[in-house]
Parts: sequence; structure tokens; C-alpha cells
Amino acid sequence: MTPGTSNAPLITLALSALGLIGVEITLYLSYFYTPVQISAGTLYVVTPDSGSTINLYESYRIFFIHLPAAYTTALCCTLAAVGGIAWLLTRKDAWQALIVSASEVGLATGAIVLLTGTFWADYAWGSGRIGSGWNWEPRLTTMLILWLAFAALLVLRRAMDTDKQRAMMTAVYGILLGPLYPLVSKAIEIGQTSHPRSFSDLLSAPEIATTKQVATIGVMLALVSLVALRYCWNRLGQRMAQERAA
Amino acid sequence: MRQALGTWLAVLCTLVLLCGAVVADSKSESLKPLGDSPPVERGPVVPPASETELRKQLEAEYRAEMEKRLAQERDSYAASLTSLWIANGAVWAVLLLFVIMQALSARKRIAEIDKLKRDRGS
Repeated sequence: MTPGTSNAPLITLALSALGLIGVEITLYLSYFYTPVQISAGTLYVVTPDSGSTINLYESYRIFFIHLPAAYTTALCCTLAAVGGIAWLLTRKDAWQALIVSASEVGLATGAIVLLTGTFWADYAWGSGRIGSGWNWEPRLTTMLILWLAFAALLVLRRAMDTDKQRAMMTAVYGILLGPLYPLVSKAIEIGQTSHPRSFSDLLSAPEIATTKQVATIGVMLALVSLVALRYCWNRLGQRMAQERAA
Repeated sequence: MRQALGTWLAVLCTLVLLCGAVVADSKSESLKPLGDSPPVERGPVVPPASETELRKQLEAEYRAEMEKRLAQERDSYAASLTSLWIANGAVWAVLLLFVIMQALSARKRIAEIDKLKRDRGS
């Protein structure tokens, strides 16, 4: 993809437009198609440490944003790691742009995951007060570490003195981001956690399963298009710097 | 100038988004459990003439209470939907704004690269 000389920016914009439509369809389905849980046990029931069950009512609708954002964060980790390995092998600037773009969007989607998760946790196992659901359990803590790792990559690469140092640091740090998401994913199996381990009960309702699939495609498309947009923008920046140096 | 305008618009949209949460179900008295409300003064209890009358009286009271709670529930749902659309609109606006700003910025960079190429050629 060579921005400026190809149709890449136009394709990226078309992808973004499709993503925005996908987000709207997801929001519509999540509020007007999926049912409200009217009695405990009919849909997904959280069993926190105490083992007591709660009625989710409308609260589960936040999953339709939370899950795709989490999947995109995982994808950003993979892209950063792939970019890091590819840069070490080829030394092409395009891979640097990919690592940076994936980290920027990963930082944003990680924030969405943390915020939506915390809002829901306040209801599910907190007292209802903002922040009461944050209990430093392994899943929450590892996700926060991942989010800080994205932020650290973007901040540290700016602190490097030379382009070579910056590129090397970005690539190595990008590779280190790779195994972080599997760690977040597996954190649920470490000790006792409040975070739900499975969504199978929730997805047993066909409307919810369908909406989850639409949300995964629609919202992820919007978020992945942001990676593509940032990639185009970063590539143009690199080309501009090359032209200035020439 | 354009970038500053974009930043301010993004800040404005974020504020609207945050306000959505404030608007959400703002009626604190909505959907309160029955036990939370103070007992209603009903005045002296007059023994009904017959059991049928008592049944009618109880049914009327029950219906009135149900209507009241249903109205509260409707209000609460309407408030939730309003806040949903405010939050939805704000998120959508921020995403759209971001896409537009990126497109404009990319166009500017492409023009800049072309200019640099021309300058180098001449």
C-alpha cells in the first residue's frame, strides 16, 4: 500500500464509512432487537465470589461494545508483534508505521474495554458507585498493564534521540506487546475472579447471539478502519520526512 | 486553525457524551421499591358493606398503584433512551470527526509531498 500514489486512502475511507454504519446497526440491534432480562437466571447470571446471582436487566447490552473493543485490542497486540518481527527482518519503514498505528488504536480500544468493563462491574459486583467494581483481580489488572504498555510504547519512542534507536525500540517493544493479550486472556483462570468466564448462557438467546456476531463485525470494522487510517497517515508522514531529507 | 477547531469540536462531543450519563435515568424516585416509600395516610378505615365492595376497593387501589409504577417505568425508559441517543450521537460524531480530520490531514500531507517533489525537481 503506497499512500498518495494509490487508492489506499480512498479504500480506507470507504472502510471507515462501512464501519460507522456497522456501529449504528449494532447499537440499533442491541437496544431494539435483544430482550431485557426480566427474571434472574433466564439469561447470563453472574456468580461473584459470594455465589449470589443477580439480574442483568439492561446492563448486558454494554457487552456489544466491550467485546469487539477487546477483540480489536487483541488484534492490535498481534499487529504490533508482527510489525516488530517484520521490521527486524526487513528494516522497512512500513512496519514501523504499522506498529505505531496498532499501538495508537490499541490504546484507544483498551481504554474502551477498561471503561465499559468498569461501568458494568460497578453494577455487577460493585456497590453501584463509579469505580466500586474495580477490585484489582487478575483480568482487570493485566488489562490495565496492557493498556499502559501501549501508552509506554508511544511515549518512549518519542524519547529516543536518533531514528535508528527509535525504530529499534519500537520494534522490540512491539514484539513484547504480542504475548500480553494471551496473558490477559488466560488471567481469568488465575485464582478466583469476578469477571465472567463464559458467555455461553448469555448467547443461548438467539437474538443476543445474532447481535453479538453483528457487533463483532460492525464495531471491529470501524475500529480496524481506524488502524488503516492511522497507518496511511503515518506512512505519509514517513514519506514527507524522506522527501524533506532528500 | 482547522486543527484547533477540530480539537474543540472533539472536546465538545466528549462533553456531550459525558452529559449523557448525567441525563441517564435522572428521576431518582423512579422504580423505587415499594418498601422505601413512607406509608400513605389512608384516614379512618370504614368497614365495607360487603366482601364484594372490599374486593372492588382493593382492586381499585392495586390498579392505581400499578398505573403509577407503570408511568414511572415508562418515564425511566424514556430517559434511558434519550441518554442512549445522546451518547450514541456523541460517539458517532467523534468517530466521524476523526475520520474527516484524518482525511483532510492526509490530503494536506499528499499536497505537501507533491510540493516537495516539485521543488526538488526544479
